[in-house]
Amino acid sequence: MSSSRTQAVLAAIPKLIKHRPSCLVRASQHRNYSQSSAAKTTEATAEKWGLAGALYLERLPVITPKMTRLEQEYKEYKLQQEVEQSLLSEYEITKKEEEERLAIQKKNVLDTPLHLRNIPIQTMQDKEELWSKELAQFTPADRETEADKSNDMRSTDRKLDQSLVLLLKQVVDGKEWWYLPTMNYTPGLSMREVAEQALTSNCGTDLKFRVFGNAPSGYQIKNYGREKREETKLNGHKVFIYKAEYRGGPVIPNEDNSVLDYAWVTPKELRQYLGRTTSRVLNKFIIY
Amino acid sequence: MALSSFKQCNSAMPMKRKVKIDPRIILEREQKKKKKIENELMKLERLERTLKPVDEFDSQRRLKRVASERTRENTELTREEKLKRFHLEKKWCVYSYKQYKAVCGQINQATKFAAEALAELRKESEELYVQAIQEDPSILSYSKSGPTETPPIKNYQFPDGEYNEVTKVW
Repeated sequence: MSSSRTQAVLAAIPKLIKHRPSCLVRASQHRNYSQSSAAKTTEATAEKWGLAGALYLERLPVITPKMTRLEQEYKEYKLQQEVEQSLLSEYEITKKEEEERLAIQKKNVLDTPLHLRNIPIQTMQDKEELWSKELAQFTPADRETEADKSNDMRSTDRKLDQSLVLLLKQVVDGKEWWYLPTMNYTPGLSMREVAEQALTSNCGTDLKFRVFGNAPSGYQIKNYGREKREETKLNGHKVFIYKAEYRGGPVIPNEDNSVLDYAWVTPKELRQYLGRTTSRVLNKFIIY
Repeated sequence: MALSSFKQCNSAMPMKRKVKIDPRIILEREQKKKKKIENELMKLERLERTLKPVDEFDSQRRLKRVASERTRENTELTREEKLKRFHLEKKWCVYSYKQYKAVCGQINQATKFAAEALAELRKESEELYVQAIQEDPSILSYSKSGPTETPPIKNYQFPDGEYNEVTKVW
């Protein structure tokens, strides 16, 4: 198939150009970069990958996102339309009747007998005032929290209308880098258990979380540089990412595992921490 | 003369003999009639208790009568307002369609990526793959209530509800 093609190409090269014998040897081998599956499988089986599991721990949003101007206008329009197309309710009818009665009473004060004058009727107006007073006594919590204002990256109270992801700062091969909690695969465990242990071993066992299903949500392939490749005899390692929901509990970075720091980061800020390739991979399974 | 009167006398049909029926049988017949009527009554009552399917419901007759009294006095919309509403609807249509497409796209991308991840896992080890495709029945018991307008207040003191004191006083 493609081997004959390469040979044809080689044959077409004028023989005046001197190639080193090793060059020609390499060219005549089945080393091509076409998409033939046969060649790929041979390449694939020649490569060895290390395995690792990572956990994408997500604190889901606590409050609704702010409405855009169009959404606000549309909401008001629809509420108005609903009122216009409805019939009067019992409450509105009794209110109207009471108002009429009050007006008549005011006009005919002298006509009403003494024992019926100045009876305080609890009108709907009074009731409404009572209710609005009761509502005023309750103040809801602020949508923007202290953590927002101080930009505390370690708290989960920041950016309540977006989801937050846990990232750990680890020292790997002498370099500091931010990544999801990861752990290398140990034989005897399933990949999901590896991912779960990646979190508990690095962040303490007080964390409460829930992984969804046994299958990974995504994966990332990291190729090693030449030195590391020779050292470990692996082409790189594959990280299988599991998505989990954060349920509560503190993050205690485990210094024994060289975890220096942690941060709760919104998906839009991921790029700053993780770099382009990793954030692109993670964006594939983030649902905004 | 005697013959004609004799003939007139004999124009009636021969009378039937009165048959004496047992009073017990009469009683039984009446009881059967009673039972029949009772059964029919019970059937009617049972029909009353079974509810009508919702599709057959007509709006409450009382409300129809009263609807005319309850019409709202709406001011006629100005031309500007009508145009504004028309344009709002158009914009909303486009906006919600784009939103829907975006969400669908994200979901499709996520499922595709998850399938790719499974395929990669399979390349590595069949055993891990088999463990990954196991069912997880705990997903079925998952429930979540959505985000609210404001976050929950920390250490909130719940006020007592209203109740009627029914303790006996001697």
